[in-house]
Amino acid sequence: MKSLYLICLLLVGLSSCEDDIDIDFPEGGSNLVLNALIKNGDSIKASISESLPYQVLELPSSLNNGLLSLYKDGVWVSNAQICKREVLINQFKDSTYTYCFNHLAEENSLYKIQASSPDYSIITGETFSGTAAKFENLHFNGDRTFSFEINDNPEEENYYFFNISYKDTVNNSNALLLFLSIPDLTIEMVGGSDEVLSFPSSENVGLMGFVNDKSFNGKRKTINIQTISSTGFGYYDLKLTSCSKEYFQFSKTSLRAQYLFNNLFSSPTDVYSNVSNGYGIVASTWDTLVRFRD
Amino acid sequence: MLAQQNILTELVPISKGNYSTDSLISVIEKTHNTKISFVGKTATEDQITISKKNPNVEQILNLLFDPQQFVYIVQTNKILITRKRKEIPEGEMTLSGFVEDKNSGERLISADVYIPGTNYGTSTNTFGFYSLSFPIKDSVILVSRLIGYRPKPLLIDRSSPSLQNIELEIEQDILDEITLVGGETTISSTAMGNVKLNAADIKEMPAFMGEVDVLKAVQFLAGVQSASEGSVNYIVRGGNPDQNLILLDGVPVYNVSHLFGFFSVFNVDAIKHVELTKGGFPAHFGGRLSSVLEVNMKEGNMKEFHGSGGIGLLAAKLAFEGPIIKDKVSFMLSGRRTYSDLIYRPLIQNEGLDAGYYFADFNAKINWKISDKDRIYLSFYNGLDKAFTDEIDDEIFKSELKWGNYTSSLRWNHLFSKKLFGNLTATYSRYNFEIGSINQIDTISTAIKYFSRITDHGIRYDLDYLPSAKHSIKTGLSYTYHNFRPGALNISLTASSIDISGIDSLFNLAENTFANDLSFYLEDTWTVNQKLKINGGLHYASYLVNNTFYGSLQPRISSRYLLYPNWALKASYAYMEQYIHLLTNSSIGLPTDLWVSSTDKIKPQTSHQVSLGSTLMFGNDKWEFTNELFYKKLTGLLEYKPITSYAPASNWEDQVLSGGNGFAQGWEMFLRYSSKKTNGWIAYTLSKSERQFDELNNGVSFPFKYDRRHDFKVVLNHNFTKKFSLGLTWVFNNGINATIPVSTYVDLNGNQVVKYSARNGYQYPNYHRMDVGMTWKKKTSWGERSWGLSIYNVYNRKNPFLIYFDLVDNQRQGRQISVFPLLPTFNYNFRF
Repeated sequence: MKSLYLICLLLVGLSSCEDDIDIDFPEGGSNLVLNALIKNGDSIKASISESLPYQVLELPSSLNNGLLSLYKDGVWVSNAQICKREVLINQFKDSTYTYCFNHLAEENSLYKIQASSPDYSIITGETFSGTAAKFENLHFNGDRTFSFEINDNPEEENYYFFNISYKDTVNNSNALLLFLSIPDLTIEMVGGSDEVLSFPSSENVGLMGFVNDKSFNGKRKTINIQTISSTGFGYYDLKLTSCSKEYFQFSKTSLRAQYLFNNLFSSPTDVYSNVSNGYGIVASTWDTLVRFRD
Repeated sequence: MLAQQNILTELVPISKGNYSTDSLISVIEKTHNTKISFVGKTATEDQITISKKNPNVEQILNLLFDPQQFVYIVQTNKILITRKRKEIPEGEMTLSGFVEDKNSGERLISADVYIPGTNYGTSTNTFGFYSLSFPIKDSVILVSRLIGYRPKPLLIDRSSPSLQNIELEIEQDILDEITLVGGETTISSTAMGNVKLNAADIKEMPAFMGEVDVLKAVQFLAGVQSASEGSVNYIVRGGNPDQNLILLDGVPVYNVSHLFGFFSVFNVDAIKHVELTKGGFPAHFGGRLSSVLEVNMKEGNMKEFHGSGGIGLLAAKLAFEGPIIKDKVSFMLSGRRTYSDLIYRPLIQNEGLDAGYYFADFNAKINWKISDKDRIYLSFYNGLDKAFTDEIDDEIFKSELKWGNYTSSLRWNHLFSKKLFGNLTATYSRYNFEIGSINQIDTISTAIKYFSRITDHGIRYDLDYLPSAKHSIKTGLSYTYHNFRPGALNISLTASSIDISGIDSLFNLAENTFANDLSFYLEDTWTVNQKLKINGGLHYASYLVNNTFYGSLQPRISSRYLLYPNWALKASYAYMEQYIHLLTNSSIGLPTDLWVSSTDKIKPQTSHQVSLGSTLMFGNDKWEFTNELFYKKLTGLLEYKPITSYAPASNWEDQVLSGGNGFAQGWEMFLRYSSKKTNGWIAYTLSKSERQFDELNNGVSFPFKYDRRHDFKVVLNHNFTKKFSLGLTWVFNNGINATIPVSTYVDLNGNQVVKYSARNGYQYPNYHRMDVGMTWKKKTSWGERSWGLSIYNVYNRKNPFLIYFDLVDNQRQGRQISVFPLLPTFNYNFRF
């Protein structure tokens, strides 16, 4: 009987010896990346960089040898210059270069940016800069329920996202909001409309919900947000952002990519890009910030 | 012969006048050197008047014998004169009954019953019943056969009773084992994409970790692929895994996985017969798009008690069967359990820690022969997988994960007449998944439990009716009440009990869904003529869920045309709808996979499938060569949204992409050999399948994850002696498809993000593997015992199970995990 145990243990051992071997994957080439953010009333900023094969474990480089041109409603407006005091993105390998156009973004305009750089083909991206939506009938109830209305313009296809975060003023930290419930199927939350989320709360990100006007075009929308858990010593930030369709798509996919990175159960998905022949995003946003004291 | 026949026209040299009968016969015999024989008396014994000189032989015989009553048969030097037999008009006869194993009394599925040399034949249904109508004059030879049994001929005349129960005897000289089922009905049937296996076929194949498995055997058939290495989940003709209906004694089994998909819930010792249909679906099938796998349990020996058992690397098993009342009531009991936890748990328990995993299943069946016309079957199955940890220290922490199926069915056969057979089936099926933990510190305990469940109650009635020799009609009505509970969470905080089942605060992460599934079918197998046979029918399905109604009329047709008696061309078309769906993020059949219902938002899946093929039998029916071309169009497919994470039960409808489309097309070749000592097959599939979702891959079609262009398999079993047999399998196919990261860049938010390849744009390395199994058997005074040695992955091929990137020398290096290297295992089995 002992020998039988021994055989069993030996075979169990054999069965568990998984083999881990190297394998060559195809390498992705290097592409030009264009990112640009257009905010009404501000100068338009952009950044170009290069992508790296996935196998390379380093940050991509920001490029300073590009030629960037801005078109408004199909008409050339200006070329961009590197503006040293402005930083659009600062996560590059070495120096960071931000290009600025000598143009203040205007409402209800279609902007296109064209970029080129030696060794790369020309890439373009365009976006529509619309009219800001407004909060109306804002309420913060004692039971930590928020309600507000969006005065939606029925003539336009509108996209919004909202952030809610909590700042603990006593401990000077960003507390976690453990539960956020939005019992409204028209609100597209990351991971589901009423899924329990636990994003780290910060003034910049917080919890995010996405909504477009397909379900309420021309009507006022009331959104009730119920939160659970706060320290009781601080304030909530509730920020509603009107954005272009491109920014709406980009924000959702970017946030989810961060959230689900390395999650074996999620299937891979690209961050949304509207740049043809390259990667990145050209998008527009305009914000409204509302702050509630807890 | 012609010269001999002409003797009747030859002249006889006699004159006009009166002659006696004897003298005339004598003259003919002398002048033509022949002998005239006759039975009985001549037409007249009076004097015969010859009115013409030199009449011919026939004219004289016509005077001697009444030509209306007698016939002249000319043979060499002989003329036989006999009375004409009365002409019997051709009539039609219908025989029906059951084909049974002579030794055990078990009814045999798919046994052929046919009249050799004609186009009249049938095969027994799931209950061993046959009914056959055929034209008959005097008598016919009826043959019943099932490979592995001695063919049994029966002389049937018009006075034979119409109820003919046939007992077949096992051919002992083929080592008591039964090989693949084929033969007469393979050619004569209109069925396409249909393969039958029985337990012995499966037992002869090499075992994986000491356990032979029904679903792994099925994966060696043409058009069927394993979802991933070692997994029992399978893909049929480019369909999704949830499009395979798996029935155990007529009851749907929702999760067929043990040990996270490496073993199926089917214990081969409890199984009698397995039949896979992957195309040309007759009208009585419904509810799934890609295949129907019917698994039938043993009925239990009606004559005497028998038992069997065995132990392998993972599990031990035991089965008993025998009569409760001889020839009246029998039973079958079978159990299986993994035992490794029993070995290692004592070793780890001394530190206040207890942990383990096991799976177990139990099959039972009672078979009650009420009369020659009535029989009742009662079947049960219960299976469980359980993993748990108990840690008792300053605090108590317990956790457990368990899942399992429970199925039961009650079936009542009734033979109304020789032409009408009915079967009533009542079914119950439940699949349950639970994961929970409890934590106790001092007197305060917190507990959390998540569970999901699907429960079915069903009833159906089926009728087989043979109105004539040319028509065989099946009809039936079925109703199933589904209760879907995709996910619920129990949370409790108590100050005393640590009973994990005492949790009382319930949060439904998703609403229960109740659905009513009603279907009706009518089909006719019409033998148009000797060459052409058609099976046509309609399946009507209706589905009511939360005030949303779906209904569909699904036409089915298949036909067979005989080019030669051993060569048939076949064609079929089937439209199918599927109202329930499996949400899964994995390929290995995890217990967390959720079965969900169609709703007002989630429409049913549909398929149109066309097949065209041929079947050729040759080499004394030992060889079967089947070719099939198929095209399948799929709509209403579901897929998790790319952003969805682990098992999201809450508002699952918002987390899936519905309305996807797909297609699969291919060519299947199946060459099979069956003889007393050797059997096996070669299966090859050339196929392509794609998917298209508006929200994925920019709406462009992309390869299905399991789109493997080439799939080649060999199965070979040979009995060298009565004591030693060898089984060998080899499989080769292209790798599955995956989406892999190809680039990184910095996005507008300053995050370094990944750019992926086109969806499923990367193909895993090719997969191939050879397994060998050897069995030594020995007869003993009490029965038989056998030792088996199986070697999995004989040449130690490192097949990819998972690929990923790892950090090596400050680079991301692609890596592949291979989980099953060369793996020898032993098993010991016995039976008495």
